[in-house]
Amino acid sequence: MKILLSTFGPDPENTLAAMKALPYQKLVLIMSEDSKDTPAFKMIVDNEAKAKGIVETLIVDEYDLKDCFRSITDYILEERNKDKKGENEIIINISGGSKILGDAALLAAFEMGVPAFHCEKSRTVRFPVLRGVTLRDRLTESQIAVLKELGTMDTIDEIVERVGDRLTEETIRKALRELRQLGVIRTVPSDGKITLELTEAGILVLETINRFEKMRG
Amino acid sequence: MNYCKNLRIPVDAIELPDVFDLMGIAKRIRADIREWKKRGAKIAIFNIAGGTRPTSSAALLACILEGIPTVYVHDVTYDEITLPLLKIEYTKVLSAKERKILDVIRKAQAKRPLSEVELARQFGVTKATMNYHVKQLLKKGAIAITPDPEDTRRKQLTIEPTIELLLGD
Repeated sequence: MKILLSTFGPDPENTLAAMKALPYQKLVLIMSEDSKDTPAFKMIVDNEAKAKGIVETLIVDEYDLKDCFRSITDYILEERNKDKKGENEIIINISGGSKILGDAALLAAFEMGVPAFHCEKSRTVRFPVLRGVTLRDRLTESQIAVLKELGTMDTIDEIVERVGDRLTEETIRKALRELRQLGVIRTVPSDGKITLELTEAGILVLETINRFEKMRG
Repeated sequence: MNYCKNLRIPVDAIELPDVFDLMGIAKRIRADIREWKKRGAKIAIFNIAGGTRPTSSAALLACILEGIPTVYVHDVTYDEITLPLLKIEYTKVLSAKERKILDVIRKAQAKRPLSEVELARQFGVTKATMNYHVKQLLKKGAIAITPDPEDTRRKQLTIEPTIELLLGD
């Protein structure tokens, strides 16, 4: 089944453009609770009912970027988890609703490897997302192992001690250097020592990787 | 501009010809980022909250492609939201063979797009071997197969326009 996720707000023009330009059998509107009361939402639901289409909603706080990002990634992960035979194809249109919601959806598309589009009445733009290539694929196994073991205010020696049974000290140090370059971790001086901690972006990256693995079981 | 000038913060404005041309803006921002990097400048942070929707999305795309620390400064609360971006390095998401194939397809399509058989011949591999790579690239959404307008029996390979951004040029 082709599933079209589309961001949606009171002005439906771009969402309608996506419904026209992109193929789908199930439509999932990503929107705030308030948008349920809009004439545009009622019109779409009525039209889809007449065409015997399936419409679902994914309710988010469209002005909270992290909530939008988490909700969209969770939805994609759950759909993929349910789809054991790999028969479903998910695509996202990011041009409806608030700017925050659109940016969160684009970010989720890149991190989940879901084809993403920006649809307007006069043009459809496809983003360079490679289908199925996820955030996890952009990190090496050693980077992920180190990332998972990182606590608060750890020194490099403490991390080496914790991960040393699986990776060599050289590999751990290399992974830490790379993670720092990626902006996932940062160094913080503490009591005359250099300690490491996750950046804000790193916390979300780790959280997303953990959700991937939880879904995989 | 005046606000920055009053605070004696150097400020430059970049004029965009069309603030709704998402890919045009993304290419422009990316080129500027690369130019600044070449000159040795370090981009500390990119705020993507301002401007039109396509401008914001284009800035986010450029930051993802170039691995720039990105924030979204909330229009109402002024909260600084850090985005969990990891640079997309095409060497990590496409194999060396896939990159070579994409490069050949890209170069050929300006004149006459190649068919799968022609592509196999160029690489000196069997049709079956090339078919495997083509299927992988189709699965990832990097290329499309379309009928040749001059001979509909012939199927030609073209690269998806925005995928070129992943190839690094």
